[in-house]
Amino acid sequence: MNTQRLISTFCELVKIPSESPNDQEFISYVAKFLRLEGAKTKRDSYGNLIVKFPAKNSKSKTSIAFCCHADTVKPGVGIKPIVDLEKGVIRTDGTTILGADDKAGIAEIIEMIRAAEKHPPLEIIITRCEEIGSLGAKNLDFSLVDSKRAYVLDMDAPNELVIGEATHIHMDVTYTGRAAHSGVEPEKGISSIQAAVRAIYNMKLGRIDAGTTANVGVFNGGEARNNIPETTKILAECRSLDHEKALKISEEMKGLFTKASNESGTKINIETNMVSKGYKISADSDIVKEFVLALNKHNVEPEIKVIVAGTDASLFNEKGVAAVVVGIGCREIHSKDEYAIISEMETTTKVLVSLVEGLA
Amino acid sequence: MVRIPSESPDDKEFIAYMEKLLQKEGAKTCLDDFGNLVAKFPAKNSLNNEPIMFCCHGDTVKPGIGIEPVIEGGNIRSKGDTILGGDDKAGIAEIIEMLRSAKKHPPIEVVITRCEELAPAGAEFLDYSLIDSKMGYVLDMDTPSDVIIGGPTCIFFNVKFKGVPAHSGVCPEKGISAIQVAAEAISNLRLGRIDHETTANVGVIKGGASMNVIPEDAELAVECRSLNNETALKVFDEMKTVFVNAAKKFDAKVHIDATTALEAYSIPKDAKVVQLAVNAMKKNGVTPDVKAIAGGTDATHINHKGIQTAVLGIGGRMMHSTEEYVIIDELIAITNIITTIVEDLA
Repeated sequence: MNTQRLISTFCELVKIPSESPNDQEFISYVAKFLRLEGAKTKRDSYGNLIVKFPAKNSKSKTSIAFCCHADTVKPGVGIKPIVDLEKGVIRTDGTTILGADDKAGIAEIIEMIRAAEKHPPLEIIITRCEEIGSLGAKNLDFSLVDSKRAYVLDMDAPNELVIGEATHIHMDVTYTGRAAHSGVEPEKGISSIQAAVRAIYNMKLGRIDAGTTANVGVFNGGEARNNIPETTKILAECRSLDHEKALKISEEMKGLFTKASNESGTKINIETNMVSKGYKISADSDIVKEFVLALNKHNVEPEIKVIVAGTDASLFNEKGVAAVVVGIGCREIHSKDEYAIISEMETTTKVLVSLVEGLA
Repeated sequence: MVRIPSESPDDKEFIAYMEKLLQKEGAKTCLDDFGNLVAKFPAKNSLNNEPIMFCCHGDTVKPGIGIEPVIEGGNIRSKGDTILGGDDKAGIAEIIEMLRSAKKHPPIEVVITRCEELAPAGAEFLDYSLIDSKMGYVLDMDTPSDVIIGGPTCIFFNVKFKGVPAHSGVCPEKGISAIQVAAEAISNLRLGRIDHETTANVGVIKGGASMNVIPEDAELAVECRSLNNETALKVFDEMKTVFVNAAKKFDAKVHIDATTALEAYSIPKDAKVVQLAVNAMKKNGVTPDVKAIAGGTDATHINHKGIQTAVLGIGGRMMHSTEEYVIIDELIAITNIITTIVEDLA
């Protein structure tokens, strides 16, 4: 692999803005770039990019997939990457994010394709709008994907290997009571704030067990001090590495919200959204063992773990494509202090090369 | 008068207009430092030298610019998308008509305050050394039968809980949820109607910023009111204790910022100022409705300055809205009632 080429590809990519959801132009750029490398490219109806490379010096017909997301958080327009070889990092001038999340991963995949002497058929999937709820992966046309396993490149350090994620459920709760002047005729009103606190008061929140959490993150109610508050809105969530448990906890929370509504005579509306469905891949499975083998070749000790945040990998697993998440060599993501570590980008690229050469 | 805009606090031009008008009617006038107008009329056909005060406010709520009054079906309303400004200019018009039509009266002091709609502020800053009356009337209620003899103590307070933020999925045990603290506190409060003269309310809560963060902040806008000052203070103390205890229980911080917006007053039903109004109403065929109210008017401040002051109606409805209107029959009734009051005193 060629470090100089890797860095220059990376810098080229981050200069093209792709703040979600305005990531289509960037995707077109990547598609063109990969066609020049010999790939066939396709866009699904949502605009996700599916790229296919034929096998190289290999008779393997079993393709594997690599996935990165194209979009970035804000502020991501006018990014000027600064390569600091002395410190071995790439950062910005401090006015924007760097966009290494997730473009370091894309640059590494490109370098892997250029550097690998042999590999099986490869599929590169570039999804849209991951940062705003994995919308690209949710809408991905999986009929265009042949691989049965995928590596999602979206963690920080090269040794990270995520084999499980939590089920994550959002609840959007609205209580509607009745307004009345609080000093003149409070008995004519029904306080939506009082109804809501009745529910929250009885709720188990925070850490519920080692793999399960719950939170009421936002609670806004009422408009004026001297009015019985008519409307209260609550945003709540629960997560569990155990899918069934997440469902159970969310049902319990919904039950408490509803009970409080019944007891107070307020109306309630609850909208539930499963943001991501949890998965757990066996540490003994091929997809994990092969990656560990590649890491070991480069003296990287893997940190195999489960996480509570949702990545595109949970959607792949839900659709029957076994997926794990691996690191790309970036830090302080989602901030203007974001930076990429050049030696780690090299490591990830080398590991990917070893992985695909090992599968050839 | 309603054509001259006077949205608070921009009511000085209207006050200047009123000063000229009352001078023409024979008053000696002066403005205090805040810009409140005090106009003094000498007695007419009367040897009584005990003055009586009539007070209205000069300002209006918004939208009060470009008001075009329209007379329609016995009512006066605004033509466009504005309030009418009957609150409180109907009262001022009634006082002027009373001065013109009363055959006799004692010395009369007319006070036009500024910025009542804002706090009430004008009456709070009024220079009471300019006023000689020992009793008076504020004209600022709805109907001709209203006689308001009491108002509440209102304690307004903001409560800020501060917890500790943390990622709700990764390390919730490192956080302290300000929303949970607030929920605990509010669950333990007595709210709504507490007794026949006392209420409490948590009107607004704003807590947290994001679904996936243990909420660091929760802010509440709270009030308690009572016609009994002692009760209001007691309820406030009780509520404060609940907030402080909830914060203690969760190891969160709490900051309570309280202001006494109004202090209760109460006039005995047999006071002269009440009886004069009651008798004048009866003489004019109106059944008086003597009561205390849960809100504040200029009368709250004026009573605390030692001028026994009841609040009477002006004949307006739907105040503070673009639907505001006044009822002409009621304008006449009130003018007759206050004319009777001053003639009875002459």
